[in-house]
Amino acid sequence: MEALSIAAFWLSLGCSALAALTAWAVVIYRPLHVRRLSLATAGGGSWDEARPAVANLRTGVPGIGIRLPRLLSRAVLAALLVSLAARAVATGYAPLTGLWEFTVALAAAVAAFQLVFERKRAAAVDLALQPMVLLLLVVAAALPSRIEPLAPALRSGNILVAHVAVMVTAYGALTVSFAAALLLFLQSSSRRLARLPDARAFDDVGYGAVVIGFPLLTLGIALGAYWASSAWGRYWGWDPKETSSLVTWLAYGVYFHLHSLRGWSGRRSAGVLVLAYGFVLFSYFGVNLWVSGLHSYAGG
Amino acid sequence: MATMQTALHTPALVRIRFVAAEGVRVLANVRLAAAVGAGLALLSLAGILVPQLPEAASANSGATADWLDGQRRSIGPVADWLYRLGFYDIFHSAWFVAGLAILALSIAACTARRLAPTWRNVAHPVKAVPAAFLDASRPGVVCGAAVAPAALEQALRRRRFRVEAWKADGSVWFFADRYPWAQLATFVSHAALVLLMVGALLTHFGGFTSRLFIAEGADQPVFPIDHRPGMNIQLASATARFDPAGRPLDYRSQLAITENGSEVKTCTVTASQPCYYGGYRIRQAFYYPFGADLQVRDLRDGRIAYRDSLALTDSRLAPRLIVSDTTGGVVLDRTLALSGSVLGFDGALLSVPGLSGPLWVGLATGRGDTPELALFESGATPGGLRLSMPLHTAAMAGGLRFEFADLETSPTANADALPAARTDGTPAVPVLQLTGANVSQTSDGGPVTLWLSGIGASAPVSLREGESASVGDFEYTFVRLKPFVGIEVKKDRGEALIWVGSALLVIGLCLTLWVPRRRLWARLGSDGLRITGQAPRLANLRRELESLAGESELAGLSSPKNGSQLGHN
Repeated sequence: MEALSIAAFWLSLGCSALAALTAWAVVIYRPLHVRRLSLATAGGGSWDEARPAVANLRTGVPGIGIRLPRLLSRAVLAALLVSLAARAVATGYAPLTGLWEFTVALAAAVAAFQLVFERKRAAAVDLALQPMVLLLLVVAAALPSRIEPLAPALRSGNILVAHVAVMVTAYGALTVSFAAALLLFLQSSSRRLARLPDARAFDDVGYGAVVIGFPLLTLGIALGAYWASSAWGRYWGWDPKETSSLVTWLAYGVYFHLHSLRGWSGRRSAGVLVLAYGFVLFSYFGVNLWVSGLHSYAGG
Repeated sequence: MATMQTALHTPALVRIRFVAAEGVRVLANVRLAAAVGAGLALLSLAGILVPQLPEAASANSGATADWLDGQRRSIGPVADWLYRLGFYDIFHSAWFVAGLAILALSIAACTARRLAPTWRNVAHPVKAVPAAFLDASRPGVVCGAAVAPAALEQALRRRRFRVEAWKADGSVWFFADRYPWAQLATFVSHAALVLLMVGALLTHFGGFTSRLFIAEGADQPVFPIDHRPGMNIQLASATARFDPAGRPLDYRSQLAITENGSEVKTCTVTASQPCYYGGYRIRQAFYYPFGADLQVRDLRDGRIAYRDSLALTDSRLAPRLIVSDTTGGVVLDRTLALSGSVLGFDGALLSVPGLSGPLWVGLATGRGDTPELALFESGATPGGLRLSMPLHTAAMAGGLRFEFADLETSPTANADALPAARTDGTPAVPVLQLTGANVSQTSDGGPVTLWLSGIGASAPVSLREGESASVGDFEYTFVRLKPFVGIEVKKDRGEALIWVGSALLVIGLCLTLWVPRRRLWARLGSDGLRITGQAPRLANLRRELESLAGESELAGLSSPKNGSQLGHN
C-alpha cells in the first residue's frame, strides 16, 4: 500500500505538470490564434474558411485545449486521493501527521477547491492554482515520505484528525484566494490577458474563497485548542505554531474589515490577501521546519 | 424637575457626553479595528521570531538575568532594548495587553453603535417602498408576462422567504425576507471575541495548577499539606512502549485518586488522554524512566535504615571503555561512572584484569572540543601505562588494546539522605549514577548499572538490579529501576468560557458568511412584475431574480399569448 501511495503521488505530480502547462498554453495560444484568424480574413480569406476557427473560439481554442487541463486537474485530485487513502491503509491512521502528508493533503484540498470554483464560473483561477498544486507536489517530493511510528501525543483520535483536516481544508480555500489575488495583480486594471475575466471577478473569487476559508480556519484553531487542552494541559500556550495561526487569523480578519471599506477592494485588498497567505505559508512550512515548538513532530 | 433638566444640560455634562460620543465613534471605526488587528498580528509575529523568556525563568530574577546574558552574547546591547520594550515577553507586554484592551473596547463601541439599527432592520424592516425605488434599483428585473400573485408567493416560499403581500395603487406589492436574523450573527462572533478574552483572563488569574513528580507505586498530595480537602494521587503503575529503534509509541499511567484517605477514582492517563475528577483535569505531563529504588540496611542491627525511590534528574558524561587482550578476547567492557576529579578532570579508578595496579581513567576535552579519554596507572613509575584516546579510537599499551567506544550521558543525582560510612571524618556526599540505561532501554552499553560513590568506599560501587554490596556498616541494595511520571493537576476556571466563546465565534462567522440572506421587494401590476432586492456581496442576485420571475411566470401562465419578456435595469 505504501508503494501504491507513492506511485499515485508521482502520477499526480506528472498530471499536475501537464495540467499547468496546458492551462497556460491555452491562454498564450488563444491570442495567437485570434491574430492568425484576423490575418487570414484580412488577407482575402472567405468567411466559410474562417468559420471552423470561429467555432473553436466559442467552445475553446482548440476544444481539447480547454478540456484537457480540466481533465488533468481531476486526474490530479483522483491520484492524490488514492495516494492518501493508500497511505491511511498502510499506516492505520489518518494521513495527516507529517509534513509530507500535510503537503499532499493540502495539494488535494487545493485541487478540490479548484473544482468547486470551476463550477462557480471562476475557472480562470485555475491558471494560478494549477502551478500552485504543482509547486506543493514538488515540495512534497523533496520531503521525506517514509512512514514513521506515530508519536504518543498524536494517538488521540478524532479531535486531532478533525483539527488537521479542517486546517488543511481552510488553507486549501485560502490558497484559492491567494491565486485570485495573483491573477488580479496580473490582470490589473488594464486587463492584460483578454481571455481572462477582469480584475473585479478575481476580487470576487478571492473574497469568496476567504468566506469559505476563514470560518474553517477559526474552527480548525478552536479544535486545535481543544486537543491541546487534553494533550498538553492548556488550550493556548503561545507555541510558535499556535501563534502563527493566530497571526494568520488576524490577517484574514483585517482583510474582511478592510474589504468592506470604500476604496479597499481590488489591488489593495489583493495585497492584503498576498500578505495573509504569506502567514499561511509561514505557519505551514516555516514554523514546522525552522522554529522549534510543540508542533515540531510535524516537521518530518 | 427643572433643576434636573438644568443639571443635565450644564456645559460640563454636555462636554462629557460629546467626548464620550466621539470616543465611541472613534472606537467603532472599522479602520481602527483593522489597525489594531494588524498591530496584534505584528506583535504576535515578533513573539515567534524573537526568543521568548521561558516561563520557568521569568519567575526568578537570577534565571532571567542569566537568560538575558545569553541573549546579549548573541545580539549584543540590542538585547537590553528588546528587554526594556517587553519584546522578550511580548504576550504579557504593555503593548500586547493594550492592543487587546483597545480591541475589546472597539468591539463594545461597534456593538453599541450598530446593534439598535441592525435590530430595527431585522425586526421592523421597511416593507413598503416607493415605486421610484423599485424602478431605479439595481439589480432589478422586469417581467412583462402575466404572473399570478399566488404563483410569485409560492415561488418565494419555496425559496424559504417569509412573504407579505398587499394591494395598493392597483398593484399587488410584495415584501419577502429570508433569514434576516443572520445579520445579527456578526454581533455573536464579535461578542465571542470578548468572551475569549475574558476566558483567558480567568485562566491567567483564577487557575489552579499542581505539578507532581511521582515514582511508580508512590503517592503525593495535590494541595499543600494544610489545604482542605486532602486529595492524593497514587501512581499505581507507569509503562512506556518503544519501537525497536527506540522511538516512543505509548506512555500510560494507572492512577488512584484518594480524598481524605478514601479511594475515589482510578483511571488510566496517556500522553493525550487525561482523567477528570472533581473539576480537576489530571494528565500525564511526562515520563521519566531513570529512577532507582534503593534500600540501605544497617548491618549493626539488621534494620532497614533507608528505603526510597530516587529520580536521577541530573546528568554526567560516562565513557564506555573496551579492553581486549592480544588474542582479541574482551577482558573488560564497561561504561564508567566518573565520580572523582584529578586536575580538574572527571575520572575514576578502574581495575583491569592483566594489569598489576588500578588505572586512573579521566575524561578531558581535546582539540576541537573532541572528548578524549586519558588512562594512566595510578602511582605509576616512569614507563608506566599512559594513554590518551579521542572518542571512537583505540590504542595499545601494556599488551592490551584500549578502545574509547562510546560516550553516553548518564543520569545522576545527589542523595544527601543516603546513610554512608564516614571514613575520614568529613561528611560524605553520596552520588548515584546510572549507566547503560536510556529512555527506550535499547542501549548497547551493557545492562543497567547503578553506581554509588561518596558512601565511604575507595571506588564507586556498581550494582545491577537486585544486587547488594556492603560498605562499612551498611548494605546497599539496588532493588530495581523505577520510572517516575510528571502528573499535572489543573483546574482552569476560564476554560468553559473559552469553549463557549470558540463555539459562538465559529457559529457567528458561519451564519454571517454562509447563510444566504435576501430581502426582496416586488410590484405586480398591469405592466407586469418588477422586482428588486438586497443580498450579500457574492450573491448573484440578478440571476436569482430572473430565475424567480421566470418560475413565477411559468407557474402563473394562464394565457399562452403572454410570452416571456424578461428584462433588467
